[in-house]
This record gives sequence, structure tokens and C-alpha cells, in this order.
Amino acid sequence: MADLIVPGDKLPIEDPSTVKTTIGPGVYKMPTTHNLIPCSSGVITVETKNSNQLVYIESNNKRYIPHTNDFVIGVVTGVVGESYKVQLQDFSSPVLLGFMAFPNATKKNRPNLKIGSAVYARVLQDIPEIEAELECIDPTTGKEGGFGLLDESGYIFDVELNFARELLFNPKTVFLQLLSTKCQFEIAIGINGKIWIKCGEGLKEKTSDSMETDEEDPATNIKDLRTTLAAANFLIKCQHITQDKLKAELTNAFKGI
Amino acid sequence: MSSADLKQVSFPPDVLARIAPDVSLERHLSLGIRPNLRNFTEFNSIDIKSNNQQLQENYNNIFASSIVKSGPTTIINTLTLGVVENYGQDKDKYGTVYPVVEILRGRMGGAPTDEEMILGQDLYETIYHSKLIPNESLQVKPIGLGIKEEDGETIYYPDLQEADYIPQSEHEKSYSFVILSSIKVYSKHTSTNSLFDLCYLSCVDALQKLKLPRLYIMDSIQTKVSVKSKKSTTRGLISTNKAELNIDTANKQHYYSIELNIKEGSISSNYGIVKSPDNNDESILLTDLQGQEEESAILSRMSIITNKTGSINRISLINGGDGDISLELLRDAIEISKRRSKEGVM
Amino acid sequence: MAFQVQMSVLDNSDGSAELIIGNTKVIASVSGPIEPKQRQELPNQASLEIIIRPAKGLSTTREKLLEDKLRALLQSIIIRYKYPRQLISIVVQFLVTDEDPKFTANELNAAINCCYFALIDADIALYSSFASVVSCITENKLIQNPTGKELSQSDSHHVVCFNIQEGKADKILLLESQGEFVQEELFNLLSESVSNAEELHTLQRKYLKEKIDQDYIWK
Repeated sequence: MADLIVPGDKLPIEDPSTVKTTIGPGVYKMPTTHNLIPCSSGVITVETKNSNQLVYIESNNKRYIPHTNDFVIGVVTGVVGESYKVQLQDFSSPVLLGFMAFPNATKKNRPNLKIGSAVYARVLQDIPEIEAELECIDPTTGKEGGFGLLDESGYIFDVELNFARELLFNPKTVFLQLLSTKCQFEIAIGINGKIWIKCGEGLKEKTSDSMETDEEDPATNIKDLRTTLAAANFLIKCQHITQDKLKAELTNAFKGI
Repeated sequence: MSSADLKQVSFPPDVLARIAPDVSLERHLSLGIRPNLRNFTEFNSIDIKSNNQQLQENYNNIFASSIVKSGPTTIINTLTLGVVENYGQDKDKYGTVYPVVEILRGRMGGAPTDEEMILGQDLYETIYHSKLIPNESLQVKPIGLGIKEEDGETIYYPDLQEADYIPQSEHEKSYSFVILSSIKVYSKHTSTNSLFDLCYLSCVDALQKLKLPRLYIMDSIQTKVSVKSKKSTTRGLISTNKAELNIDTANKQHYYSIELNIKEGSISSNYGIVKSPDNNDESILLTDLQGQEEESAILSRMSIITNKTGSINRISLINGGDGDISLELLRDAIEISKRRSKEGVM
Repeated sequence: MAFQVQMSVLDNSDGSAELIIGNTKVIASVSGPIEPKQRQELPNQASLEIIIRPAKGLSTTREKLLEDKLRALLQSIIIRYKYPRQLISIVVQFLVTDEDPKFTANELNAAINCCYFALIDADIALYSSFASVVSCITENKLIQNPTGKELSQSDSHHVVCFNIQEGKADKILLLESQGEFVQEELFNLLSESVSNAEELHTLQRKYLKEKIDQDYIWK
């Protein structure tokens, strides 16, 4: 693997006072001296493009800190004023999701989210001194764009943040491709380490009217449920194995389905 | 209005000290003076009330006391004693005091604060590790025997009245004293480090004045009203014969001074280090921190105990915040401490 | 000085480490940045909550003093301005200790070194790396990494934590010295400890490299 850097080391970059430098996670700019220092331990990446340089440290962590334009999955825990309170992780400070941050929302046409429902949203702003804000609108189109309520037939589970970033940001990532050879699925990946996944119809709750009208086969329903759980288990296991063992793990996860 | 007018807000110095202690400290330092109006390496004068017998005379259970005054702080330290039986072979060569620190800042009652617990524990550990109190000095001298006679009570000690002493076979257990220290701090604005210095000073002072009493037991024959019954186990009737250890407070002439290992001039001093407001590469050494600004804005600190012989008993150094503690600064601080040990604090 | 460490041992905390150093075994967990209680919240920086639990019994004033020392050290190492209004909660649980309860040197040393790994594991921003060493002086002889017995027979004992900048121990972050010693002995001890701390840091890097390899095993 590439080079390890720990706090206290010297950043292997050109002098930032002469070269335009963009810093990413893991690099801290001292407010008084304007020196750049590494503040996490991880793999250093330096990219130079048109005499500009980009530096960041890739490291794994479990606690999520909101940043603008991150796609996250949160759970509605309450209402304050004109916003929902949304929890992105256990014990994290809640973030806000305004009533107006939905497409076609007006004063009268309010979104109807219940406490406990999950949403897929984008971080609108992340000033650390105040509560972060989310929205469920695609900023380029002004439409829904995949954001909004995640329906209850899906399954939400936690992964480590570095793995979530890989799944969301790396278009060539093998894991989802491999998974698609086994089943059809719908997935929402939150950069806060939460993944929502649904295979087929997912888990359908039995309601009294569905008993009468719906002629759905209970066997398919159970199969969809089992596939969903198998897919989730597979992705969780992927975090801890090397790539050559992926195929075996996949077969193992979907055994008997 | 297109743009809002931002007026400059000014605060009186005491308000600024509360809301922006770092700014207040920096402004004072750039004028060459500290917020408490002392020079950078000036210590608060300390006043120790010696020969204060009043407390001991009024309360029989106080065996030494010390009152230390420094700036806005007053510390009253009273030593009381406990007695424990010696079990087995005692490995420890040195004892310590068991302090209870109370910082009275107008808050009523409640559980001890963290600051009080930390101060108390720090004193306990420091006095132990500095090896001030040899365990031998805490051993209780042979126990006397009190005998009721017509004209009152007389106490016979095996070593003092050898001729009249009737040996007792029952009481061959050995006992040790335990020194308990109750420290009351009346203070508003002194930093925790400075409080430690003053508490340590008061403990050392009180220990040096400490006089240990003699212990005795009453002759049991006189007081025995035991009614032993083999059939009944009725309690109240059985015996009042309990060999209670009593402290001989009536005969103060038998009190003796405790032998200590305290080196002359054992003094604790504390220092704070801040970045110079004029030159960012330079650090300023401040002595004897005091006041709101210094307590909250100075994170680099040292606390050093030295004595006249030039040896060091304790250094507690924490290098946080802006001012860097270099080895030179540490050396300077030790030099100042040593000079203070030589010259005394009074 | 050899030590063994295992990171991410606790599933429900954001960062954790289990460290065996000398005869002391300790486990530390870091949760944060999380939502603070109202009274803990600081408007412009993270607040620290440090809890130390002894190997036996309930925590006493002895642990309170240890907590205070650890807090003084960590509050200047963690970049607290990066997490305003948040709380970083650190719990240190001793499992095996080797010293008389009147001493805290070995425990302080183990707690500091263990917290380094737990903080890194939680990916809390740090100004620099740090490493701590413990030593004692017995009859003018310097003993590094003393056992509990050696400590109680010593004339003085010292815990030194160094700031590690570019692999070199460049300044003292914490020094706790107790007993009776002279200035010369102290400075001699400090210069001896520098190489020990640097050695310790080389080992720290080795373990951190292993952790990174493990975290990105699927790459």
C-alpha cells in the first residue's frame, strides 16, 4: 500500500505559499500560522494538475461529520419549528431538514414524514458552529432526483465510512457489479455509513386489505426478504476480506436462495 | 440601509477579563504587567500565622494548625489524628496525610468538586512520595494505664512511671497514628496550581508544629460490671469492659513533637508560560498564577517543589496552549524555585 | 520499549485500542464527535470528557487526579477547534495494573500511550503524534520501564510524554516527577528518554500501517 502519514509528519507537498493548494480531509490549516499539517493517520494522496496541487489523507473512521454535498441517509427523530430533526448516526448532533427543502413544497403543501422514517438527502451546508442542514432536492434540476423518503420495504444497515465512500464515489467498484449478478436491487448509499437496500419487492408488511385484495404469493415475498438480507450481509462481509475471496463469499451469502 | 454600521464595543476591564480572558491577558502583557498587577516573576507575599494556639486550646481534637494568607486567599489547615492497629509487617517506610480540601467560594454544600478532590489527592500523593513522614514517627508510644483513685484519675506510662506500672498482658497490640488534615480554602480567584502551593505550604507548616499525644486505656478492673450468664445471651448486661483507647488530652506536658524528614525550605512554586504578544517566537515565564485571565488563558504550566539542599521533590509540567516550555525555561523555573527555597517565602 | 496493541476492539465506540505495556494492560475507547450534554457544550471548540476506571473496585479521587492529568495533556493535542459544540468522550479502563495504589506512574504512562491509538482509530484530528515513557531512579541508577516493585523501591519516578514531530521527539508535553532528585539527574533522564520515545514511535507507525492495510483490505 501507499505511504502512511501520521500527525506530526511533514506533508510531502510543494510550498503552499507559492503553489495553489487545495486541501481535503485529514489536512488542517493552522489558523494562526497558515501552515498545513496532517491531522489524521492514513494514506496520503497528492495530485498535481496545471501547477495546482491537491492533497488529502484517506483514512477509515466510524463517526460521520457532515460536509456540503454529501449524500446521507438519516432518520427523522422530531420536529423543531419549520424543520425535521434528522439523526445521521447514534449519539451524533441532530441535523435539520426544512419543510421547504422538498420539491414542490409550499406553505400549504407540507411534506408528510413520520417520526422514525428514513430519508435520503443531500447536505446543504455544513458550518460547524451551527446545525447542519439537509435538503431533498437535486440542485441541478430542482426535482426529486432520487432523494426523499426511503420506503419501509428496504433494509438499512451500517458500514464503515471508507467503504461507503468507495461504493458511492468509485464508479468502477466491483462489489455492486458482483452483487447484481445474483439479484436485482435498489440501493441508496449514505456517505454517513448507512446503506438502504431492497431486492425485488423487499419486505412487504402484511396489511389487512392486502390479505383480501392482493394476490401476491407469500413465497416470493419471503424470497425477496431473504435476498435483501443476503445482499446486506454480503456487503458487510466485503469490508473485511481481500478481493480474491469475493466470489466465494457471494456464493456463501446466497446459499439456499 | 445597504450596510449595517458596526459600532466598536468597549468593555470595562473586569468584564473583558470574563468574556475574553486571552485578549485581556495579552493586552496586559504587552504593557509589561500582569492582570493581577504583579511583575512577570513576582510572587504573592505569603503570611503564615505561626504560634496560633487558639485552635488547639479550644478544641482538644486539633493537634496542629496553620493559617496561610496570600493575596486574596486564606487557608486554614487543621490536623487531627486517628489511630489504627498495625497489621502484619508494614512494608511502607513512609506515611502521608489524608487531606480533605474544601474550597469555599460561596457555593453551599453539595458533593466535593473535582478541583477539591484533585487538590486533596495531589497533596496526599506528593507528601507520600516526598518521604516527609517516616512511618516510625507515627508509631504510638507504649500505652498508659488509667487508674481511678480517690482523688481522680491517674495515668501510668510504662516508660515514664516504670516503678508504678503494672504490666498488662492483654494489650500488646501496636498502633499507629494517622494524620488527617482538614483544609479550608477561602478564595475567589486563585488558580488551582497556586492553591496547591499554599495547601502544601500549610501542610508542611502544620506538620512541623504537630505534637503527638500519648494514649492510655482505663484499668478495666474498676469499671467491669460484667454479668455473665451461660443460659441467657441478653446483651445489655454482659459487659461494659471494652478496652477503649483514650487520648491523654489532660496531660499536655506528655505531648511530644513528631520526627519528620522535612528538609528546610520545602516550597512549592508554580509557573505559567505564554507566548509573548510582541514576538511570537518568545515565551514569557509568569510565576504564581492568579486571577481569572491567567487561570483560563494559560495552559502551559509547571509546578515545582524544591528545598534548601538543592534537590527537587516534584515537578508537574504540562505543555499545552501557545507558550512552549523549552528546557531552558524549565531550568529557569527550577532556578527561581531554588532561590525561593533558600530565601524563604516570608 | 515493547508493547502490544490492538485497535478497533470495541464495536460500539468510534475508536478503541487495547494496549499491553510492561505489566499493565489497558483498554481505551473514544466516542466523538458526538452531541454533548447542555452543560458540557463549548461554543467554539469540542469539550472533552475523560473517565478512568480502575482495574479493581470503583473509581476514587486517585482516578480523578489521573483524569485531570490526562485531560491537561489531551486537550492541547486534539484539534478541538475542528469540532465546535461537540463532545469527545474518552473512557480508559485498566484491566491489569502493576504498581502500589500510591503510585500512578505506570498507569498514567499506559493510559497516554493507549489513548494515542484510540484517538487515531476514531480519526480525531491531532496536532501531532505523542509517546510517553516511564522511568525511575534508584540509588543514582536509571531504570527504564520499571515494574511496580522497582517503582516502590525507587528514590524518584518520572513520566515523560514527548511531542513527536517528523519522527523526532521535539518537545516535552507532560512531565510528572515525584520523589527526591537533583536537576542534573532530571536532565540526564530527559535526554535518555528521547531515544526511547522515538523507538516507541517507530513501533507506533508499524501498528498504524497494519491498521491501514486491514482497513483497506478490499482495495
